[in-house]
This record gives sequence, C-alpha cells and structure tokens, in this order.
Amino acid sequence: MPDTTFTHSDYLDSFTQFMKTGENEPLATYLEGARPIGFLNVYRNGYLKASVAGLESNFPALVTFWGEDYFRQVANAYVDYAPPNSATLVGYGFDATHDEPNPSFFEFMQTQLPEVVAQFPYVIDICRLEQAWLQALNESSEGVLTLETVQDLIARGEDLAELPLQLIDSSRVIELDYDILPLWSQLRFGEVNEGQQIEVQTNTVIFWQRDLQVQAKQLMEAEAVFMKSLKQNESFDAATSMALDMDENFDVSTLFAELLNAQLLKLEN
Amino acid sequence: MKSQKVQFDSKQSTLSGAGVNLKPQHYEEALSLADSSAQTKATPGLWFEVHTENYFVRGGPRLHYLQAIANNFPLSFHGVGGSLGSFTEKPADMTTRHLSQVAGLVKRFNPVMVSEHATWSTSQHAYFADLMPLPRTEQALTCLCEGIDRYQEAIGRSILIENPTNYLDFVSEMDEADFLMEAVRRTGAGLLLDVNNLYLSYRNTALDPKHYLEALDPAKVGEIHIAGFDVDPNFPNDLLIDSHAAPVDEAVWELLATALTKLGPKPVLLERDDNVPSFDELMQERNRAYDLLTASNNTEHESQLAVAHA
Ligand SMILES: [Fe+2]
Repeated sequence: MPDTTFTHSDYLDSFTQFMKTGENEPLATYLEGARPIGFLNVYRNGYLKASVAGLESNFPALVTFWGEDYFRQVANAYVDYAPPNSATLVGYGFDATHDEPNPSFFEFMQTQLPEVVAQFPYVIDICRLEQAWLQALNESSEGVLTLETVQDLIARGEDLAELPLQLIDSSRVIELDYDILPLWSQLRFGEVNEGQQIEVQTNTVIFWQRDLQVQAKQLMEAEAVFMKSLKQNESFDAATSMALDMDENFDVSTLFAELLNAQLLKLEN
Repeated sequence: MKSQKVQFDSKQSTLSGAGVNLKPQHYEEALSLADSSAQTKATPGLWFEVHTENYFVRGGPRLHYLQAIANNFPLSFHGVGGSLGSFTEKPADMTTRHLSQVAGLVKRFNPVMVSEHATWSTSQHAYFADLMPLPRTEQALTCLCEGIDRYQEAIGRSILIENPTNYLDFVSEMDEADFLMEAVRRTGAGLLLDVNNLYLSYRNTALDPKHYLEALDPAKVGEIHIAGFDVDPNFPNDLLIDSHAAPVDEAVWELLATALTKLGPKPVLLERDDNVPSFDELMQERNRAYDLLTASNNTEHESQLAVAHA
C-alpha cells in the first residue's frame, strides 16, 4: 500500500511551494512509480507561460516596443515576484485594488528593476495607457446620456446646470509625463515610424468606450482639469469653476455639446 | 443530506451535437453561421463553449458578442480557475469573489452546460494558471466534493467535472475513474470526459483507457472534449503535453470513436487555445467530430431497434 498518511493540505502546501520556487524535493513523498520528478516542471512551466501570456495581452504595445524575448524576461520575473491574486488573468499586472493587492507590473519594475525604468523612463506612461485602454474597453457602457434625453429634459423645463452630470463609467483620464500617445498608438495598432521623438511633456488623455470601441482624445489644460474633477465626483459646476481658474476663456457650453456628442456623459444614479 | 442531491443524468441534458471553444477572433465568423438570411447552409448541431473567466468584465465587446452567441447557439461555460480540489472551510477572498463572478455570468447567460476541472489551481493568495493534479486519496476526494458542492451552491445548478491529464503518478488509493465516479455520486455532478487527456494519461502514465471507459457510468457523462497535444522536445517518448495547440491526433480520434461506442452519443467539443488556426479549419475538425457522433447515434438507434424487434 502506498503511504497516504499525509494530509491533503500538506500536499497542497508542498505543491504551492514548488509552484512559487521550483523546489520539487518536498513533493517526492507524494509520487509513485519511476517517472522523473523533473516532469513536475510541466505544471510550473504551464503556469508561467499562461501568466506571461496574460501579461502580453494586457500590455501589447510594450511587447511590440521591447520585442517578445525581452518582454518575456521581465514578465517572468514579475510572475515569480507577484503571482496572480485573482483566478483570471484579465487585468493581471494592472494597478493594485482592494481585492487584488498585488503591486502592478510597473511598480514591480520600479522597485525590482530600477535600471530598466532608468533606461526607459516613459515605460510608466506606456503602462498607464495600456491599462486605461483595456479597462475602458471592458467597462459597461450603460446609461449614456443621449441628445434625445437632454431635449426631453429641456422640454420639461429642467435646468441643465442642475443635472447631476458625470462622465460615463468607461472613461479614463490619464495623466502622462511624456508626449507618448502617438507612439503608443503606433505600437498598439500599426506601423511604428522610425526615429519617433519622445519629449518630456506632461499632458492628459481621455479614453472612453463608444459603440464597443475605445475612443481617445488629448485634452487641453483646462479641459483636463474639468475632466479630472468630474472623475473625482465633483459637480459639473465645481468642475467648471476649476477649469475657469485655469483658463478664463474656458467655454463650458461648447464642451458640454462636445461631451454629449461624444457619448461621454451620464446622469448620476 | 447528501442522498437528496439532484443527480446529473445525461438523458436529461439538452446539449447535443458538436461544438468549438470560441475565441474572440472568431466571433464574427461564428455569428455568420447563425444568419439564416445568408447563403451558407445552417450548421446542424453546432454549439460553443467559452472559458468562463475570460468574461469577468463589466461590459464592452466581449459580453456583447457572448450575448449574440448565446442568442443564436447553445452555449457552455467551461471554468479553468475554480480550483475545486483545494477547498478550504474558510475560503480565501479570491475564491469567494471568483464564485460570485461565475454565478453572475451563469445567471445572465443561462448556459446549457457549466463545467470545471477535477484539479486545483489556487492556494490562499495565489492563482497558478494551470490545472494541478490531486492525489487520489480519500481526503483529496472529500476536499474535491466539498469544492464541487460549494461551486454548485454558488451557481444554483449542477456542473460537470473534467478528468485531468496525468504527467506523473501521484500516490493513490483508488483508480482515477473510480475516484471521479465517486465524486460525481456524492455531489450530483456529471463527468466531462476529455479523451485527449485520457489518451495522454495513457501514454504518460500507462493508465488503461479501455478499463477506464468501462468503469464510467454512461448516464453520468455529459460531454466529451477532444484537443491536440504537444510532444515535449526533451522527452519525446515519455512526455506528451496537453497544449491545445495542434489539431486532434489520429489516436485521439480513435479513442473518441471508442468512447462514443462505449458511452453512447455525447456532445463533443473541440478545444483549441494556442496556435489558433482559421475558423474554417476549426470547423472542419469540428465537422469530423459531428460526423462521428452522427454515425454513433445511428448505430445506437439501430441497436435499439434490433432489441425492440428481438
Ligand atoms: Fe478539456
């Protein structure tokens, strides 16, 4: 009879240790027969490969930028450092949340591979855009405020200034340190022009989902202040006065029409 | 309590025919087969399966297309992160969140079938994105059954559990078929028989497929998987890997035919997750499975007639 006096949790602990470190000796007691213990690597390799593939689909522009080999090297180190803490790889490597407290892929680079960040300082901006784009794509687009609804409200004599307006859930306002949106779009969606210059220049971009596709727009300074305020649940009025502080020519009615047209607004529920 | 559980019975299942596991790059082509106005003839018995975890999103094109697929074809949810075999009394937050997301999707899409694996993949704080084996001990069996119970309770219906691919022999107190049949009996779940996994377990660990098929209760088998495998370049004779990255091997087609003869007609699903070819190519493989299934259906029908006439 085989020795089965071990507990199931002992077994899971030893296997977990192996998956984390590659150390397989503690698993020997659970094996029978003559097959090499090294075959256990099938499981660890499968896990690493799947997790790296998850990161590749979450950071596709970075894969193009670095090339697959280098990306995979960094990604493998991240998987060892911060195994996925959710049983899906959708969103693996993105910013920590209450439910998924892992350091993000970029935070890992910052603390563990500072030389990489020093060499490619704008990689954080690439990561910010990757995350925002995918999150905008996978967000619900319900509740968009339509022109018809607004016309109805006006007909009913509602004061538009009083409406609890907000940006739709899929909107993501991204503050960047480099002027990198053009390069990122090329990496993400098409041909990369040789000799692309990347300037240090803070700027703000907004992504949002419309008709199942992600839209992007680079924002003027006052617009950016306005959008960020709305994203932080400030009222339309408060956001407008903050934008006016920045630029006295800020025209909220033009912007309102643009936002409505772009399907970027919803009513707070 | 346990004896009161509703028991899975394949005769009650409404799923039939042959399906393909659906990848996002094939949404449009898949939907074009549903378009009755198109010149293309409808494909009888076609259904789709998706990895449940890929739909853990709040909206956007993924859920939109999944809804369109669900409106036009039978849909099956196949979980890969449920980690049924690492049940703990105090589930990690990760597990609780996972189950509530699966439950939400099941409620929204009402798939014809829901399945998971008789393996494990999460420890308290980490998800190891692969399907890790269970030793076939009484303790592991109890743990697996509790994992199945919790999953079924969360989604409010019974599931199928899939046999693993074996690469090594873990200590065991019972054969794999008996282990799985016992889990199914205790929980009311059914079995998803992956004949590629079975073939690889045979090649890798000398598990006897004929004996295995005989030990299964056909009424408990609700679905069959077929897929392709890779040969490990370092151990080409000893290590075949369940990669889902190649066409189905001839030996697996043979085993599928044997399984259909032994178990009777069952819905068959073609799995392909890597090196994904064109949709047409996948459909050709799927059609081959459908033809085999139709042939086995006819044979069963004839033998029933023969019995009735005898
Ligand atoms: Fe399978």
